[in-house]
Amino acid sequence: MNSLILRATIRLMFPVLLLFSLFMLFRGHNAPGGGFIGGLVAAAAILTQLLAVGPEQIRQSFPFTFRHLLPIGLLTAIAAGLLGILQGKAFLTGVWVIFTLLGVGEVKIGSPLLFDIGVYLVVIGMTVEIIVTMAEEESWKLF
Amino acid sequence: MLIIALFSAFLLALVTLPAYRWLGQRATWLLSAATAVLFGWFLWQAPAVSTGHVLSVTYPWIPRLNAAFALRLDGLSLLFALLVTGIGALIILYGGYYLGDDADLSRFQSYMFLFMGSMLGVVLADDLVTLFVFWELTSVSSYLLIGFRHEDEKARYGALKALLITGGGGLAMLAGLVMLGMAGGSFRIGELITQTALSTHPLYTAFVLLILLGAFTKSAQVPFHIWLPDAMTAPTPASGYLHSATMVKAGIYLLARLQPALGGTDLWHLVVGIVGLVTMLLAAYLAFGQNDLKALLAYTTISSLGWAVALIGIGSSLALKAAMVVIVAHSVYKAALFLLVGIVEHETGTRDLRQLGGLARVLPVTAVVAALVTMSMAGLPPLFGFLAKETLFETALTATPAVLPALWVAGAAFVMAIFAVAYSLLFYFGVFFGSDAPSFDEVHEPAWPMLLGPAILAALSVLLAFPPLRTASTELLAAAASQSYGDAVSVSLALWHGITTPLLMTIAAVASGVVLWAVRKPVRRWQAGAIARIRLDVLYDGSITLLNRLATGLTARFQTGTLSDYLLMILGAMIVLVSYAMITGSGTITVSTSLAGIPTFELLAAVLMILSAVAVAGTSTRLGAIAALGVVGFFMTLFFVIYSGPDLALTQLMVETLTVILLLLVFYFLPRVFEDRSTRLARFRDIAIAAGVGTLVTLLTLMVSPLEGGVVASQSEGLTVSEFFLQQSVPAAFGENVVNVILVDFRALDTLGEITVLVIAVLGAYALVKLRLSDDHDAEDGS
Repeated sequence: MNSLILRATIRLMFPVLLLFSLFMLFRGHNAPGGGFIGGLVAAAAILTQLLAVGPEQIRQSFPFTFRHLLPIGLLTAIAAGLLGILQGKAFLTGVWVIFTLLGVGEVKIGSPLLFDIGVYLVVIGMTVEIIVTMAEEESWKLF
Repeated sequence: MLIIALFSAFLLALVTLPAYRWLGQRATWLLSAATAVLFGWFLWQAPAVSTGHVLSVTYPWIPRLNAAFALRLDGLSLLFALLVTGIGALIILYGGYYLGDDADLSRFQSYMFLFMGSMLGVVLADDLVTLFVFWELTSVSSYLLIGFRHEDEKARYGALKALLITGGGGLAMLAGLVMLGMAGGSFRIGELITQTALSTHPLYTAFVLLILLGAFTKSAQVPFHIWLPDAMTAPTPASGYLHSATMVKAGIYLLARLQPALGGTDLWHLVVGIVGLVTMLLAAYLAFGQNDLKALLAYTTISSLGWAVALIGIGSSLALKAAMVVIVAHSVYKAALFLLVGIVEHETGTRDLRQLGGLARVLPVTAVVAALVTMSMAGLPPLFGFLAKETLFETALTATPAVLPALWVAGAAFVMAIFAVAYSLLFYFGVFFGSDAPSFDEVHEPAWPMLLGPAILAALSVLLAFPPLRTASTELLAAAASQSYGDAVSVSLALWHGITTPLLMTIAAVASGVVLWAVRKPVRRWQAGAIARIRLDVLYDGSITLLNRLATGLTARFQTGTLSDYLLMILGAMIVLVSYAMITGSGTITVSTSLAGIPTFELLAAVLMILSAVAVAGTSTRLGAIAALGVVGFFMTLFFVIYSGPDLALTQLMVETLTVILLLLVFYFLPRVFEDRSTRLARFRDIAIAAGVGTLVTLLTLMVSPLEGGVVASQSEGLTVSEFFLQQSVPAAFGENVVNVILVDFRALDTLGEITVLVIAVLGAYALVKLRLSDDHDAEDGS
């Protein structure tokens, strides 16, 4: 799909969409969003770019391999669970650090956020890897 | 400290790979030295432990199931730990030179340390669950070592056979251990062995037999011994270490460990005693018929294992003392013999008795070392093996339980001793002497570190029979036997007791053994026919073939490759299982048929959604189906928005979007219209399934509904599941978005499972696409 309009629009939209996906990820605990949704938004951003530039360039234009996100994400989620064990509680028990930041107020950071980041990474890795793999299958002549 | 000692072996397994890369052959010495330090630490504990001191540590593991990670070092554990680390240090050194420049040397040594750690775990475990985990780990490391040369089909066969037989026994043992733990009210071995009432428990017969199944398969007792000869495809250092000196003694360790709790009954005496005696005799007989040196040693190993098992079956204090003596004697001389056979094979390129001979001329040092350990195997004075046999005879003559007549035990021991002398002669003279020996003129002694291990073990075979080592060892043997007996056992060993019946038996056995060896040709020729007829392996091979055929049949039946078949099975199973749970479970569902209170636009949306769903099923064009499906999806989103489920709405939107992208990619290649393939009957079936799923999901939704009559969450008083989550979200998890809190906190384990499934799905999809690609290439190459 060699469309100039599509490419130009996506180049503009891509950073915004990625930021939006991070926004979705981090607000998830208190407002609509979270790792699944954020991951899907990021994946949609990457995949619309796939439509514009094709699989080869998609692979090259990212400094990491998509499928590496899968083990990294899974291990991140497991690590979040192990934090609970380190505190002597059961696996995946939430661990929270609560402190007051000047000018912001009370800040709560917990292992569920780390867990959600793991989910986020796995969702991006899965969606993008599957679709890009299919897209670069030469005999299917998708691009 | 105990835990550091245990895990240092696992640590060494990790260190091995970089160590060999950086240091080359010097790593062998470092690793061996590290193992020796471990041995030194255990030896350092010996004086205290011999006087009855017990080291122990406990960490809670799964408190709700009473399982703990518990270790204990007492006399019995220490004896085995010393064998594992001491012989381990020598074999690691030997292995480094045996495999020499092999590119896989570091992998081999890594497996060896993995095994060492697992075996230490088995003998140090104080908890049945801990013990079981390490027990299975020894099976795994044994599998890796037997299959080390995995290009060789025989190696793969042997590895799988060992894994299946010991693993199967291990499963039976797990059931037995769980029953034992329930019967004794504890999984702690230290607490179980002090109980006396276990033998009157109604489950006693069941758990004893199950545990014995585990021990017998591991220690290669008849009829499960068939895996051990095939395990000889492992590199020789591994055979000597795992399949002779240590791992196959795990079953014996377990029997000795649990003897105070389980022994003393007729069942124990009969089953353990008879299986041990039969194994001891049959394997000694089979050993004499072998031509492959490693197979010969494998059968003699089985024989000695049976010997120790039989003694534990007898279970008197004298018998357990004799069992400890034979365990040590056998480990020491048999490990050395395996290493020597390894040298012979390494230098001559063969280990076939028919091709070997006259090696004493070219391998004089090896021959001298071999002479000592072979004498120990034959049970000749003044070696430690002689003491082992003397105590066996002594036990057989004086201290057998009523159900095992002394005549049986003594007779079996005597016949075994005759064969021991005969196969020792066959082995030694067949390899190192012989008039019709082919010339091995270019053969030379191996690198000295390969001889160091066997030489030290041979020296031990001699020195252990004399003071001061004999005195020192008796203390440890007494401590080990006491643990196994459950009461104090005094051990004193002497080469000379005067002219006693055991000594006369030895003399008679040696004389008969020499005669048997002298007439070996006709005897072995007759055996060659007879051995060929004893084919227990047929049973194993047959059941494996059957299992494979069953698996192929099942796969062909259920993995049809048609998506609709899979959906049918999944949904069908869901309907059956969930509706069963709903019918048998408690909880009420209120269904209101009144439409009052529902806004008109919601009704309209619902009706449109239903219509588009019908359209999906009815349309014959692909584009139409996709469009209609999209309508269903967006109406779903609308409902999520109406019922304040913004997360779900967002997710649904994203999924719809991604689906469009995916379809854009593949749409061009799909046929434009659906083909009509299903029969009338199949359609009715599909309609029934679809209606069933719809009804079920509706009912489930009503059950958890917060509106009225929902299922009550068990954790709280009178709250429905939804109410519970809504109430607890902020105070317990600091989150106002309940959906997200459920995903990442309350039900985080479910989410972890889900993302694991996602990862596996990617692997599957990736493999499907990429492997298909390489198939295409193959096809192109072929054409």
